[in-house]
Formats: sequence, structure tokens, C-alpha cells
Amino acid sequence: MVQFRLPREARPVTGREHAAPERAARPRRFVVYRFDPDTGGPPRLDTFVLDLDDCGPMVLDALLKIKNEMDATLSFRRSCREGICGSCAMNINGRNTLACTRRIDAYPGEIRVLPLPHRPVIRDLITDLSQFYRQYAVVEPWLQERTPPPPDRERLQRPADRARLVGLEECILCACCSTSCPSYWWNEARFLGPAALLAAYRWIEDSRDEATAQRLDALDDAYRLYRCHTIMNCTEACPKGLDPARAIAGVKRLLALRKL
Amino acid sequence: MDGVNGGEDVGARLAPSRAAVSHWLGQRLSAALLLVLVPWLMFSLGSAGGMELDDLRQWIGRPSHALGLALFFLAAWYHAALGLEVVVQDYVRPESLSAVLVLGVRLAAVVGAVAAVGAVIWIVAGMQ
Repeated sequence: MVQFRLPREARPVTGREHAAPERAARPRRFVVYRFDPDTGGPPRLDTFVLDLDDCGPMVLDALLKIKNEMDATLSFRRSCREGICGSCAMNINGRNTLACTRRIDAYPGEIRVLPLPHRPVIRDLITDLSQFYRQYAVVEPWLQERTPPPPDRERLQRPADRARLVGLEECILCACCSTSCPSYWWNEARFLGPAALLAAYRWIEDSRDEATAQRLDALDDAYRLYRCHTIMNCTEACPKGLDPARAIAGVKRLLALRKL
Repeated sequence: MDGVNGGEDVGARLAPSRAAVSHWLGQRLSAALLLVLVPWLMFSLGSAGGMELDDLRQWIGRPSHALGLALFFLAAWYHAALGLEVVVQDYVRPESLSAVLVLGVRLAAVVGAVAAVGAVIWIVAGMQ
């Protein structure tokens, strides 16, 4: 059977408590997942109490403050701090999202920050996304041409055709959707996951792409596509407001129409 | 779309099955059929409350009822088999055990459907 619980050695234990600074006007507890493969032992949940009057407004600001002032060993990915790069994807209070676009005051009480679920943890909040990227590569996310391009200009697209890509091409590959999908948890080796399938549909819908039949052939598989049972956690989780579930339904619809 | 190197990405290395859309369509079409047949069967049997065994045989023996009942059994067993296959493929590991169970589900569905439809035919034949 698939594994429904974490192995015993991977279940986090209560960790260290880092107290609030003296005279903190607005203390707030952050419980952060910690795992160091070099020291061994189970992961722990460390608690950091910050003064929100002395901290930026976003969850990423809190993590940066912790790293800069309380525990320099805390490890996490971050880059653009404005929801473009997708690096700071993590699980905050039970939902996959981007730490840089989530305001601290949107969460009442304690804030629990965990790595993206069901991915091997490299260290602290950093997960191994190799499998996720390989699955993205499987859908060959680039323009495929069968006819030569016009000699004097690029391949043009009508505005109406370009409009069909809105909501599909904005994906930043943060992995929030795929790692929130139960089907992906149970079948990560063979189910491509919502992010890769959204990318596949983006190229299927592109009027300039000439490999639609091959793309559909490659997705007509019990595991690659049809492990999706329209649970819609992906759509719920997407920090960019995209709808991978709708894109997957689009692929299924095209396959069904082709069959009929 | 295969040929991605390295790693444990079985999905990337195995060729697509190319038959999955039939499974998906079969689920939807049999569900649509059951959406009609289940209320019909419930209504028919419900409104004939207190039927004796001979009355029930008479009811099944009518051609339209026999046809509807046979269709119901075929659609129900087919739909159940497809659904159970999905559950097995979702949760059962290793994949060799999953494949054996899927075969078992299909076999059980064929036996169940043949037995059910055979019973209807037997009853109809007995009425002649």
C-alpha cells in the first residue's frame, strides 16, 4: 500500500524556543521546521518569537529576520521577494504558498512554517524538486514546429489566440500545486502532477505549436494524466491564482473529443 | 516525449499507454447510463412493493424490463470494475500486485455481469 504516514524517523519533534526580545510590543510565535542531515536525528519544530513592530510585513520578512538576527543556520530558498521566482514556496499554516506574498497579519496567532509536503527535505525548508523538474521536462515545454518559419519575421499570433494562453503561461513553477495534490503524493513517480500538466496544456493551446497530436498521445496514459481525480487542491494552492485543474480538464476533454 | 535522463521518474521513461482515455470515457458513459437506469429500477421496484416471487418473475419477464435490467447489470458491473481499478492503481503497491488485483477486479466483474445477465435471460426464457 502507499504510505499514509511519515516514517517514524521523519516525524518532527518539539525543538528549541527562541524568546521574544525584551519589551516586544507585538510578539508573534513562528514555529519553523528544522532538519539538518549532517547532525542526524529527527526533524524538529523550533519556535521563534518575533516583535512584529520590528519586522517586515511578510512571512518571508520574518524568516529573514530569524536568519539574520536569531539563528543564522536556518535555511530556505528565496530570491525575488515579489511572487515572481517561486523560490520561497513552503507550507504556511497548512497551505502551500509563497512566503514573500503572504502577509503575517493575514494569519491569526501562531504561524507554522513547514517545507513543501511530500518532497525529500534537503535541509530545513529546502526540498528536493528534481523529480518535479524532470516531470516538467517530460511535457517538452517549448514551441515545436513542423513547418519552416516565415523567412522575414517571427511566427505571429492573433490577439484572440494569445488570449487563450492567459491563465496558462503565468506559472512560475513554485511546485505549490503539485505538492498539495494527494494523487501526486501517492503516485509521484508516474503522475506528472498539475504543474507539468498545466504546462502541457499551455503548449497544446498555443496556436503556433504544431505538435498537438504528439502531446496528446504522450498524455493519454493511466498514470501521467488520469491519476488526476479533480480534487482541486492545485487550484486552491496556486499562489498566482491559476487553475491547473481546469487545464487538466481541458486535456481530458481534448482526448475524449479525439476519441469520439 | 520520453528520454529524460536519470532519476526515479518512471513516468518519464515508460511509454504512455494510449488507452487511458477509453477508461475515462467508459467511466463517464456508464455513469450517465446508471443515472437513468438506477432511478428507473428504484422507482419500478419501489412502486411494486409487496410483489411475490412469481410477480417479480412476471415483471422481469417483460421484454422492456428484461432489457433495462440487463443494461443496468452490465453498466453497474462495468462502472464498478473501472472505479475499483482506479482505487487499486491509486493505492496498491508494488505495481506487480496492483496489476494482479486489476486483473482480479476485471475477472470478478465479468463473472458478476455474466451471472446477472444470465439470470435475467434464464428468467425470461422460463416465461416462454
